[in-house]
Amino acid sequence: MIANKFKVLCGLLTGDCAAKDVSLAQWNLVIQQGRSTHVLSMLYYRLEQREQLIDVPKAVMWHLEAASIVSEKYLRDTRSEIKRFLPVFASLGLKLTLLKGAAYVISDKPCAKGRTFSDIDLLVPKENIDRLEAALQWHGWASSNQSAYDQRYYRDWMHEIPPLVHVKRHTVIDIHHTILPLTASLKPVASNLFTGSQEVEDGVWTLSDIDMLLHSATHLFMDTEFDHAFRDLLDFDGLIRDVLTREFDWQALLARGREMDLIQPLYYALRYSRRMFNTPIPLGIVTSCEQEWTPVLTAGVMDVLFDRVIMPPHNSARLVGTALARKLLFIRGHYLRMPFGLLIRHLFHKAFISPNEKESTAT
Amino acid sequence: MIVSDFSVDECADQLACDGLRLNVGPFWCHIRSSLPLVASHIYQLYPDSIIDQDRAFVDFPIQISRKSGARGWIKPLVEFTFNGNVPFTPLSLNQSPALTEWGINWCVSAHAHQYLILHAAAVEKNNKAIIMPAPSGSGKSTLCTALVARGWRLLSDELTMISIKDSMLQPLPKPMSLKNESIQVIQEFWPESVFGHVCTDTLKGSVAHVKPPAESVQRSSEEAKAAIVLFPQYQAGSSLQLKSKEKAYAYMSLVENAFNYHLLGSHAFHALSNLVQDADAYELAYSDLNDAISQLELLVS
Repeated sequence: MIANKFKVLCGLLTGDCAAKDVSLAQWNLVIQQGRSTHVLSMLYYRLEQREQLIDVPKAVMWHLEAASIVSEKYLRDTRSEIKRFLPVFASLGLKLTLLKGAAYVISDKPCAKGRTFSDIDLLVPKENIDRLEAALQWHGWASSNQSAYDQRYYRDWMHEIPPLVHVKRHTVIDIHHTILPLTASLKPVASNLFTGSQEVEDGVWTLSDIDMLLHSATHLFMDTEFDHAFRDLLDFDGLIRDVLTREFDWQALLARGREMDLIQPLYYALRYSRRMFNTPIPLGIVTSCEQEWTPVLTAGVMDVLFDRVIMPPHNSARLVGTALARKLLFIRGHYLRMPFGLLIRHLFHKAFISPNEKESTAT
Repeated sequence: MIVSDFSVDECADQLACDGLRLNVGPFWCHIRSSLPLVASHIYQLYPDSIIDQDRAFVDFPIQISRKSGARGWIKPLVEFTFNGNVPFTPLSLNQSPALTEWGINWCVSAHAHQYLILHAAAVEKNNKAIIMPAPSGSGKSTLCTALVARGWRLLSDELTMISIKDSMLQPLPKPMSLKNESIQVIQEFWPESVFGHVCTDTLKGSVAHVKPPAESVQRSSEEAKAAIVLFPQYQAGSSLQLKSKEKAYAYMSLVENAFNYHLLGSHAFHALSNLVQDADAYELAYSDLNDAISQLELLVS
């Protein structure tokens, strides 16, 4: 079923497949697919951890080594940005809470070794956003240049403010105040996210392990774009495998999902992580998740769509209808993020007004 | 086998059907293209490069093809695809040889981070390599090609690759790229040189490529040690001037010309420190290629 053509890459990433059993022709596909899904550096560290780098053919090895060097740079940069954030947050009496890639990497999740990410995501209570943004401006982070409409779109409707870009270092930070757009039909309570948060190093916090899982699922399955879907699902798989190394209460995950109104994305993440990466998730957990809500489209239809977008945008695996599936899920994502009336208004603006605005600013 | 074991038609057929698995320095490119200009470029300028059509693993899957769409009927555009992505804006059909070269250079500089990669030419004689970092317009490629014409081994005319393990230079003997006036200068200086198609009206003006000598291509797995960092400066009418430069100056100038210094962090710092430690640095102002070459012959003798 899913992506036999991705079996080797997935197997190498999760450990179901050993490097010594992979032929050169298979490596050829693994490196190309791994590059287009941005997981080559993660593959390097996972093979290193399993002591299998020695089985990687010489011709293939540099691709993994070079990718690991790139990921070192991401880690270095993230650490140096965090060092700069800490005094700013301390002066405002705020907790520095990391989300997504930066959170996985800085909290030393084994699955995140080598994970790269283009911006640093932070979570801050909504009432503190203005103060934080003003303080960060003094240190060189400025709101990226956007139209008045875009500013309004972010500030009134979304779960984050427009990205801040450092004027000299060009690093990008996304400041979130919750994990879903304010206009979405699902309504997780943002303040709950802080209650379980954990300090992973001096002054640096992340969500609790369970909330991290829920956010990973939400980010992936409530979104409109799926360019990084494969890697994001791999994150979810890794986070699950990580919590399973300790005592883990599946019911607590479901309970928190219910409490946060996030059963729907959790269900999809569990389902597709199992399909794609053979994640050791008890089937009973997936079914009990499934019973808690009625999907508009049947699981069969969603499988057809998600199989197409989770699989990397690589020629080796292009299925019939991939472009259409992307479009449909793009519309679904928007629909989940905004009520219908607002969505129509937003799409109208993006289609007919924004292009003219760009022209008039260009001239 | 090597490219010249094919006829030009066979070379074009391979490129158009299954693709050509071509050895370029330490890398293998798998190039697909049905464009005759690309086929003749590879046939003329890579005749001595190894091909291995049974090779299962390749480093860079590349496609150079006509961009589809109605616009193509008026002005045909060509795009470079790497691993399913299109990293640059398409160019006109006439520029497809240049696009091929720039595309391969991009593949190397954007991915091969096991090397510190400099925007610099490198040549070798008597086991002593000279690195010539220089901004465009300083005459670096012209001097490099002229040295190669006089029997120096070409390491690379555009991307100097320094191993982060031992600071040795890894050859990448691709066709040498010449721009505008230097095309004629080299045609006169080296009448036996083999030139490819002249691509006009590119961002850099007219661009043409010169075939590297067979020996440089055959010895592409032989690393070289950097002995000299040279900053050439072509100045019309000037007399030859060789000035010794400090190591710190050489180091900082190499950093400025590096593609991935900051990305590599301490790997780059150590590799470059070791290299500069063992090399002398000079600035060379010249107007006459023969004078410049005799001077450099002295330095490596």
